[in-house]
Amino acid sequence: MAAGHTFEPKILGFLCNWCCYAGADLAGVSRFQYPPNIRVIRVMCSGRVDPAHIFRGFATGQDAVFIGGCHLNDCHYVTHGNYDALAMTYICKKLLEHIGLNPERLRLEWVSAGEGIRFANIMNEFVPRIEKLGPLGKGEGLDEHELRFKLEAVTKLIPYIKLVQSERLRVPDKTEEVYTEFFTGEEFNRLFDELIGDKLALSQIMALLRERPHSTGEISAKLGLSPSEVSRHLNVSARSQNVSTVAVDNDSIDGIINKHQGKADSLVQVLLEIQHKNQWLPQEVLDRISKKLDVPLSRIMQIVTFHKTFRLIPKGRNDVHVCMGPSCYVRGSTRLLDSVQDLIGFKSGEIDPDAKLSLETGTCLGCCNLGPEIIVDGKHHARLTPDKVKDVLKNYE
Amino acid sequence: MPRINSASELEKLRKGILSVRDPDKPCIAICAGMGCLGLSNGRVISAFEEEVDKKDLKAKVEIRATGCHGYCEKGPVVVIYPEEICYVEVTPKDIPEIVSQTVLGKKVIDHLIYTNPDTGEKSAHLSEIPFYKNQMRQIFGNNTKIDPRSIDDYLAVGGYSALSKSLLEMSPEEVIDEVKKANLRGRGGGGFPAGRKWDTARNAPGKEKYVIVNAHEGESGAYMDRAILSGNPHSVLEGLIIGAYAIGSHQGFIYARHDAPQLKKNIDIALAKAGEYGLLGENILGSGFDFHVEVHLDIGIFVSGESSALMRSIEGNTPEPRPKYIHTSVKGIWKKPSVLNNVETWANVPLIINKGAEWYASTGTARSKGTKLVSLSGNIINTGVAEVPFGTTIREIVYGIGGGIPKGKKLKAIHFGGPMGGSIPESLLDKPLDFDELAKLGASIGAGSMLVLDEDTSMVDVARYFLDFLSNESCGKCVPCREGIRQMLKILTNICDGKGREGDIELLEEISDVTGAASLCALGKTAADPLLSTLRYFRDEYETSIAKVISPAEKRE
Repeated sequence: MAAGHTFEPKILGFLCNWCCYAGADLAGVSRFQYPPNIRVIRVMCSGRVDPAHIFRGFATGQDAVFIGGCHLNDCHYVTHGNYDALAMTYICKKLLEHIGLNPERLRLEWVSAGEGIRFANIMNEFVPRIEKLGPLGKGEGLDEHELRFKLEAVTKLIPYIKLVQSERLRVPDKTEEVYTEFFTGEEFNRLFDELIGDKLALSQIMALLRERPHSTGEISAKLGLSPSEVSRHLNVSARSQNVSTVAVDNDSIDGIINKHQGKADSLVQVLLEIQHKNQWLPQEVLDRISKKLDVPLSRIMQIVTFHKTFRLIPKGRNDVHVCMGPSCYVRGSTRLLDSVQDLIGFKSGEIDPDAKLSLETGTCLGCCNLGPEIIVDGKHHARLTPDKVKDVLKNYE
Repeated sequence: MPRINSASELEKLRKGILSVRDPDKPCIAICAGMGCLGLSNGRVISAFEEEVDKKDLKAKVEIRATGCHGYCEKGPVVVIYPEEICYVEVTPKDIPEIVSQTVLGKKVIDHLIYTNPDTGEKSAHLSEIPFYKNQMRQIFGNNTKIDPRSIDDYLAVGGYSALSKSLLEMSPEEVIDEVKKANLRGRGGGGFPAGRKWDTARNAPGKEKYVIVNAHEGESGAYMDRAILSGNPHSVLEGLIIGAYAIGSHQGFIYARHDAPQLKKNIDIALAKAGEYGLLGENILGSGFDFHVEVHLDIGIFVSGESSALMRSIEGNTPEPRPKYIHTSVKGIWKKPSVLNNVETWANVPLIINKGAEWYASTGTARSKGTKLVSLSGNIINTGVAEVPFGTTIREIVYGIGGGIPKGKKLKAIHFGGPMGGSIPESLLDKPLDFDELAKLGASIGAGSMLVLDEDTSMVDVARYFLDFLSNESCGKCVPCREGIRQMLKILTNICDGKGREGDIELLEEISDVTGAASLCALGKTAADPLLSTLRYFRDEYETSIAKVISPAEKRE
């Protein structure tokens, strides 16, 4: 064709010994032509292929991965390993989608030992397809760095994914209909998002942060997540101690604890005072209190998660509070809350990426004549309707 | 300020205060209660101060930032004494006119006085305004005359004379007797006879006893306790000291919410001033009786208003209720006899001592004596705090004082008692305000919040809303409450979402039976009350919500 550098896809193939590999061999012996872009690894059964293999392939420069096995119900082994390959492929395709890569780069085909021509035909179709998609990452608009950390994120998550698969994504019958129905259905999507989607987002955030500190806005842009979702993930990981956020210093914590003579009884008072000083309670602070007062962390968590006074997320520069007491409720506070959430783009209990605003709801503060109202930094904005919300909030920087 | 050491010294001081107060001197009383604060009355107050300064009237006119007047809907409210001219919805730009026309010129400004939206009638004086006229403000009335930060104001209206009478002329047993004869019932929601509670505590073994003011006011929609404690803290304090004397306690606690900074400030100032004057602390009024008060703040949870949970919280633990096999009046804080009463209950005590039990019992019904503060909220025109004698019909309160329903809507129901109360429909509006009468209807009066609901409200949603609130507030200790509320909420949410099923109502009734009988504390026991009362009077609403789900195909079978 034209002179110059054209893209030659690198394809990694896992072919099962008994059917597909033999089929490919037959294609060669029969001189059926197909592009030589595939590098074959022979496995005893397609069911042997693990997500780790696939993503390692992608991480080391392959543009596509091909898995070939025996036809369904024809597996050489009694355990029907090709069904396992089928399930695994569905999941891996979803993973690829989630990190922004084209799931067509992963291909699963059933080729029997006598189907040499079928193998050649598949290759003749697959390779140009990948040529069209372009190099991995670049073809989807990801730069090298992004691609690398996304693949890293998925790889780190694989042990968890396999656990989830064996516990929650089992399919009872090994028939093609049942498998197809399950993996193309609503429930699978829901389970995937619930169990894996969140963790994947978090894993990507961790991968980013491992390189260098990022702001919430940067993370949100790089991962295509809304700022509210990013903040939610960060809160979760802050609580499990994976991510450290700015904390009040140890000396002042110790000072407050000593003021109460380190008595375990004064736990609540200590928490209140620190909260008053720091506006919120980061995980490291709770750990320190647990150590110094000799109170189990579980007990501290019991108290701080139950009582609404204690904040476990940072406070924005402006604290927005919407009253949801019964009087305000019958006067329309739910509509008011909806309009506030729509305007600022995140939900109550969260904070925006630039820490300008944090939103929470609460029960009756006793100013029923002002309802429905929002209170910003202690200032009441009374008798509001959804259309007036914008005017109120735009004054806050 | 030398301490007061006898009744005669107290009277001398009172006379002294009154003698320097010219009853004809104009006094501008501006409501500085929470509701008006939220309507920027701070600016009104400073505008008055500026104007008086500018016109060099400081010596001739007094400005007083008082406690809540009660008419929260029309705030900021200003009352000009001695004529008692009442201006509503005052803005800073009205100030120069008020000062020159009314304060100095004694003329009424037409566009600032109250206009009745139904009749167009204007009322210039406080006592003429329907909202106030139909009330009986024997406890709340003083709020317009008192700056909560000044103890002299309270003394000027006769404060602490009940204390002096109790400590110096009556024995503790006589005090309890008087309270019993007056049949003072708890105003926090239980309606338990206070005199009996005090008796139990007095006779309980042990030398250390405690008295507590429950200023938690967790009931949503209720704000009259805060209004009275923040606006006239000394009235509550006086009642507390009398009660302490009656049962023999030397240590008192005030348990308040943590989210009302103005309230805490006013309480602290009141305690300090009372201590200064020798009305609190060692050897009160020279009687030999010692009494100290501590203030405790809550940590933001509804259940800490429950008596045993509150006591646990004062001890420093997390508020968790306990079953009352032994009453807290026998074993309360640190296992010592503790008398816990609501703010309003304590505020009634000086009145009973001053005017006598007979006088007190002449107001009210056969078994509910005295007056009750109610907080009007929801779909009502005149939101605010009102004080009415027991026996007043609900209709009088909603229409005579509350002014009816806004936007011309029809009334559907009145909900008493917040998440632990019940609703009564429009058809029962002529029932009297009474502990037992309302309890019989399934809508106990609770702490006094009256949530007015108009025709657009879905009663099923109201029941769901309250269960939602309680599910977050349940302490989780006992199964009937923790699990029962959750399951009832689930069923109700499904009904509200149109996913109700046949048999749901029966199931709800079954669950509420269990939670009502087997829960540890009042929260669980009364959790299903809003649900049950709405089922009692609005069952058809539930049935239509469920019936919507059954598709025609099923019905054909």
